[in-house]
Order: sequence, then structure tokens, then C-alpha cells
Amino acid sequence: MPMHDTRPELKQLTDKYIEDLCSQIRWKKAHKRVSAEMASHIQDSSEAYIAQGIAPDDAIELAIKDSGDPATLGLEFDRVHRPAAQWGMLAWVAGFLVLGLALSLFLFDEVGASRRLIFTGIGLAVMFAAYFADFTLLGKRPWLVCFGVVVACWGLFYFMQLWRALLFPPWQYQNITLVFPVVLAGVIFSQRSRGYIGLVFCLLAFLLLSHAAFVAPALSGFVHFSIAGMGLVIITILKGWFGVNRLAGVALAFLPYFLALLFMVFVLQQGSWMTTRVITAFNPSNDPVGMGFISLQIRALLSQAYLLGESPIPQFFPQRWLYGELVLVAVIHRFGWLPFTGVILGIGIFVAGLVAKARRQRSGLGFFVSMAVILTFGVQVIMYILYNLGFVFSQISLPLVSPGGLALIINMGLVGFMLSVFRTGNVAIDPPMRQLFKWENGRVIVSFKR
Amino acid sequence: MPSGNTAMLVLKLLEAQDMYGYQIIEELSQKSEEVFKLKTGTLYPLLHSLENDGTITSYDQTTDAQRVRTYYKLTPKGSGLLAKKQDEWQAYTRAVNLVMDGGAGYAHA
Repeated sequence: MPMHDTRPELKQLTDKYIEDLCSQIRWKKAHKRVSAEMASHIQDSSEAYIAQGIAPDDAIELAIKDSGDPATLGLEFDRVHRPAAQWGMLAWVAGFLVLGLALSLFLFDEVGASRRLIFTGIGLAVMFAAYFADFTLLGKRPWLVCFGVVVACWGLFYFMQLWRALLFPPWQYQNITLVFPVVLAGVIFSQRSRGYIGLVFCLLAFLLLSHAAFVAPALSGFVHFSIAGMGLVIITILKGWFGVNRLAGVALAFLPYFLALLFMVFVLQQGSWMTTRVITAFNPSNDPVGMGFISLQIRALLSQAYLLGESPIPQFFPQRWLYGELVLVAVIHRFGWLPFTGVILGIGIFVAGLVAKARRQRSGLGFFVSMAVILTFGVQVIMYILYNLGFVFSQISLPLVSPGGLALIINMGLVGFMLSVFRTGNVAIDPPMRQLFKWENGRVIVSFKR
Repeated sequence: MPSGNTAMLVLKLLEAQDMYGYQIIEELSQKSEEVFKLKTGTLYPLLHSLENDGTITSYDQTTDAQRVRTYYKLTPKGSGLLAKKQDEWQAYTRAVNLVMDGGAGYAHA
């Protein structure tokens, strides 16, 4: 915080005051916010004295004196500032994990349940590491993180075709793309006040990440990111963060989709597997390789399900399917539509709670990171429900609940990262906004002032 | 001034507009004809704890002189709390006035 025309020893006086004050606050993360606010206060107060005709040097001394004993003030702040432990949210997460474990034990065999227990253990370690992590790092080096992730994914997805010795089945690696919205959130944050140029940079990052998701061994991750990532860009435009005209911004954001549509038309003529996937999503019986059979069988099972209680299973429905990615179908089949509705309602309440918390974040980065995780979570849930109701075939899992090794671990890490925002967001400080372009009354205002 | 009432006064000021710390001190002093002189040591910890409770939120804004100030804003929860505190305060002052004016005994007669 620059202090105006003052002698160095007076600046030191302010610094010393703030240092003494902060030494009483045990939570180090709170120091930055408190010292910035107190420095600003002392400056306001001394400016008021100067306006009354008091010499600048004396004004600062008076302002510091007015602020009171630094140690006492520091102790007051110490009482207020503690990391906000997210017990309520952690209880919700624990609830979903227990539900997932119970379902795998009850619906599946013990081998499946013990596998899941191991993944939950690894997931818990990852989640708590993320919970205590410093999310502001993402805002400091967003492009480095973005390029790093893209290059790592290109490398991984390319070499995977070469090496066979893999920890997880190849298609599971597409779940790495679940971290992409959070990576994009860092980029959006860094570009948020740069107007159309910022928006274009965000869309470039979006396309780059989309490509990395596209070369993953399954298409679901790409579909997921194109919805969740674009959702994040649209929210940013609608919140007015880019400072662009909302309609023009949204139109610009949809340009990649328009190009993708053209690409689709091109691919459609070629008759590739992707075209088939798009067509069978709407009409499963058209699937030449028989994937549509799954959707048709699911629909047959669901049409016979009861409100409550176990329902019959169609003759050709292979039971082993229920052990995999059809947990919600299994719930409907074994327990009925009401328990299914209960699970969905629980997830809905959890997500609504997360949105309410994200909206209260004082830091822009905190808001974006938590919104990115919520979108990642929400889009997975919707895709999974659609799949389980016999629509679009997808290899996305139900976060925290359905089995699935890598997906469970990554989702738990993401939830931990979001909770770290809620835990420390109250004292997080964003770097000052730099407005390069501004849209005012139909005119673009360019400001080169830093 | 008891701390609960300080919170009420601060919330009342923020109801009209978003303000930063120093502005709140000045505004309160001016509006109360210099009766209420808020101390720095009272105001900022109070603002931060109100924020932790969710009655107010804060955001940083850069001024024309490229300085960053933290502004505080009343939340819907804060408006609810303010309305409640205001009602309690009115009931309290009315009761005090009744006693002080000697009117309270009349009801018992």
C-alpha cells in the first residue's frame, strides 16, 4: 500500500504498527487482509487530518495514535479470525461416501466393496491434502497450470496407447479431465477485467483444454468439460466480470460450439464412431455395435419398477451391469423410485448449499474455483442420471457415490479443494483489478493506466 | 455503547450504501452529532465477525488513486437481523421512556 509523500521513518512507523498488530494474530493467512485494511485505514485517517491543515508527518502519527494499542487490536482480530472448519460440508461428504460404500456392499459383492474401501482411503488422503492446500496459488500462475495440465494430458493420453501396464483401465483416465474446469477458473480469474481480449484468451484456454479432453480415451470427459467449462465462462460474462456486453459476450463464447457443429456436419458425412454416438444418444436402437442395447434394457427395467420395493428384472438384462456404472438403476430396481428420489434430493440440497456458500465468497478467485467444482459436480450428476434413465451412454460416474477408482479419487480431491476455499476464503485477497477495456454506454473505453 | 447496539448502528449505516471502515466511523460520528465515536479497535473486529456470521459481505475496490479499499455490504440475512434489532430497540426505548415519564404506574392503577 503506497503511503503518499512521507518520510521513510513515518512509513516505517505504520509498518511497525501493523507488524505489531499482526504478530498477535495466530492464523498467518489472515495477516495480509488485516494489514491491507489497517494500512488503508491509517492512510484515510491521516488524509482527513491533512485536510484539516495538519502537517503530513504529524497526521500519520495522529492517525496511528487514534488506531489504539496494536497488541490489543491484534488480539481482537485473533479472536475473530480462525480458519472456518467445514464440519457441516465434511459431514455431507462423509454421508455420500458411506452411502456409496453401503450400496456397494449391499448391491454388489465383498470384493467390489473392499476395492471401493481402498479407493475411498486414497481419496480421503487426497481430499485432506487439498483441504489444507492454498487455493490462491491457482490465481498466481494460471497459465502455467493450464499449459502444464494440457501438455501432461497430451503426453499421458498419447503414451497410454503405447504402454499397457496401467493402474486403472484406460477409459478411466478420462476422469483426469474433471480437473479442467478448476484450471479454467484460474485463467478466467486472471483475465476477468480485460474485456473482449480477456474473453478471447479464456476461450483459447477453453479450446486448448477441450482438445486435451478430446484426445482422452473416452468421449464423456470431453462432453463433461464442454458443458461445465462453458458454463463457467457464461457465468463470468453474465456476472459482468469481463466488462463486455452480455449478449455479444455470450455470442462470442458460443462461437466454438458453432465451429464444433460445423465440424460435426463434416464428420457426419464421414460416418465416424463419433457420429454414431451422437445419433444413438437420441435413438439407442440405431447403435451398430450394440451399445444402444444397454439403454434399451435400462428403459425396459425402469418401466417395470415400483414406487417402493424390489421389481422384476428383464429377461435379457445382464445382472453384472448393475455392479458397474448403473448404481441408480440398481437402487430403483432393488428399492424403488422413492429411495432413488431421496438420493437425488440429497444431492440437490448439497449442491444448493455449495452454491450458497460459493456466492458468499469475498474473493473472486474463491468464487470461480468453488463454482468450477460445483459445475464439475453438477454436470457429472446430470450426465449420470440421464445415463441411468436410459438416455445418453456415458462413462461419467456419480461423484462420491458410484464405484469407480480414479473418478472417486479425483472427485474427492476436487471437493477438498473447494472446501479449502470455504475454509480460508474470508481472508483471501485478490490482486487489484486492471481494467484495460471498459464498455460504457455503447463505447469502448481503453485505459492503459496500471 | 454496548456492542450489540454498535452492530445495529453499523448495519443501519450499511443499509443505505456500501461503505469502507473509515467511512463508517466518520458517518456514524457525523450522524450522531459526534456522540458516537467508534474506535478502530471496535469497528474492524466487529466488521470481520459480522462477515463471518454472514450478515455482511465485503469486496475490494480500487479507487481512482489506485488504492484498494475494502467495502462492506449488507446481506439479506443482515437486513433481517437489522429489522429485528431495530424492533427490540424501539420496544426498549419505549419502555424506558414510559418509566422515565412516570407513565408506567398508571397501567397498574
